[in-house]
Amino acid sequence: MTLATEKQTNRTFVYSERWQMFFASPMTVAAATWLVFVILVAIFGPALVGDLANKQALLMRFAPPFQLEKGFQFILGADSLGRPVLLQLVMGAQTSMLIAILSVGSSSVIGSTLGIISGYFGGWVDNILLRIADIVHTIPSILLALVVLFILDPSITNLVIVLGITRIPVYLRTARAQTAEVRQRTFVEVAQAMGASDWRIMTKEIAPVVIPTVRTLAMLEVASVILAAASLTFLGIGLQRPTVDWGMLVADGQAYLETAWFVAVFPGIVIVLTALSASLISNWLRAVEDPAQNILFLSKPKKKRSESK
Amino acid sequence: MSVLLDIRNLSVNFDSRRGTVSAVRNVNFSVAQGESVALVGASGSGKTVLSRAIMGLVDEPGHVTGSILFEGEQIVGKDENELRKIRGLGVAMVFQDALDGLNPVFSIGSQLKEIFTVRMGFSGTEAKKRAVALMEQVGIRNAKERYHDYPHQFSGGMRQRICIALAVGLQPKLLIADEPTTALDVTVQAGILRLIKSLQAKTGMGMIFVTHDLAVAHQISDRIIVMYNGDIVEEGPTDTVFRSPRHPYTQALMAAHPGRVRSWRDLAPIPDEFVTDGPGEGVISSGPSVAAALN
Repeated sequence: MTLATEKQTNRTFVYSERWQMFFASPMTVAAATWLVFVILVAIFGPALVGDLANKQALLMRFAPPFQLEKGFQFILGADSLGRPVLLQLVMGAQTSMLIAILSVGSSSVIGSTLGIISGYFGGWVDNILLRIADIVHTIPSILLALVVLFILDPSITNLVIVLGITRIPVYLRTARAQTAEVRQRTFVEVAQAMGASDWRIMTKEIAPVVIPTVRTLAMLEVASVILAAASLTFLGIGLQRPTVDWGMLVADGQAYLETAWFVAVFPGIVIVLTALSASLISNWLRAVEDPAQNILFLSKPKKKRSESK
Repeated sequence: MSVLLDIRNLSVNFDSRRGTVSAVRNVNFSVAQGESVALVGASGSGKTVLSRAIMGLVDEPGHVTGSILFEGEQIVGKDENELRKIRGLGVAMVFQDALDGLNPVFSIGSQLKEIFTVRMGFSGTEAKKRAVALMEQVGIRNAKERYHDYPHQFSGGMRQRICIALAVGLQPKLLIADEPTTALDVTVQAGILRLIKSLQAKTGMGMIFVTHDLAVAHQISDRIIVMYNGDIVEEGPTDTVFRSPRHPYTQALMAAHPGRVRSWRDLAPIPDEFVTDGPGEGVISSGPSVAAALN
């Protein structure tokens, strides 16, 4: 009976169910909290920190972490030029998140759109798109980045373009493979027999099934994009100071790993935490958006019901 | 009764590397308004290809030749945009695989509602009302509450009911049911057949019921068409065909039907020369020669 009354107020029911599933998974709550925190820092942090982040103080060189007497900004220590690691991280948050979100966003949208088109129409469209993807895939991304960033300025925009283009084939292949499978299924045939257009079938029938997979992939790619940007910086063709990203901090710090571990380790931890949070959230989203799976997250209230019987 | 669907000299060929495969060969038949026609035949006899041709859903490398007149309109060679207007509103189809007939990521209600908002231009609330009514019409209890459920929460029989609801929702003039009960067990099958029959009686739509189950064909149809290897080998009123099948293949089919014998020992298997793996592979290619071969 309670089930029936719950369902009558369907709209609120659906939303509260989502929240319920959210809070039923503590890892997801932690991951979301961390991501929200990082994004807030990325948006507002640099403005608050201002010049303080890049202010060199040679007396503070390699100041050890967890000591408050030198001021709160040195809580995570200072690097080789006495710049506070904490504030560098705040500055880096903006660049890293910007690069990650923009390049993953653009490559996943472009890649999955092309993939759905490729898988749906098949034939020569499919062939041409796949061959282009093959070609892009065979170019080593570091090599392409070297060339592009050598000719153009190593700006955030160019970094996003390079990292974006080289990742498109990954999404294209994934989306194409799933589209080719989904388009054979009966519900697509049913839609066709009901008079749905190709566009409608692609956007309303196939995309909703393909998107969760692509999104999971994209969330995992967030980590690899941050690391790819870091390796470009490490090679000296990535961003240049005063623009910093997390990868650059790790790269700068690794030279002093034996004497001042904290310069590289804290940025490393931040990268790992962010990447982990992204994939945890994508995992949760994938499960929640699958109507057949999301019941797993509602196991607690279900238990109560069986106990009361 | 006026003619709803008229098919003349219809052939469907598929080009393949090993040559052309004729799935349907020079088929002629018609369906009148409100008439129920059963299309029976073994797997690979061309039943499904024929019904897809009527929907205009034969894709490359298939080629349709001949004439399909639906309400006097030629379907063969019509462009995609025109065909879309006929699908759903004119001719609708119920598919064999009920378990996969609904998109798993949308609720049942939203999928039913969609046909009204998209095809009829109804407002959201009006469309929802219609969708609930439709669910009730196909025998879903507590339709209002189940509106928000997802396909995986429905049983196979209920999913097929929803698929039928989708097909009849826009009140098509012709319903093609392509083996709608083969994925279901026998008790559910009876319910689905009753439902289809009552819906047909209520709306007066014509129906082509594709099946390989003779008992089902007998139960549901006014007229029966027997296909063998891409050809129509026999056609006639259901009772007549059942009482006195004329074509050897039909006779063999009837003899192999378990409903007619007391013991399975009396069952007559279909003679080997009738067994094919697919179109164009039969030993006997067309009607008259089948008769000749048996004589």
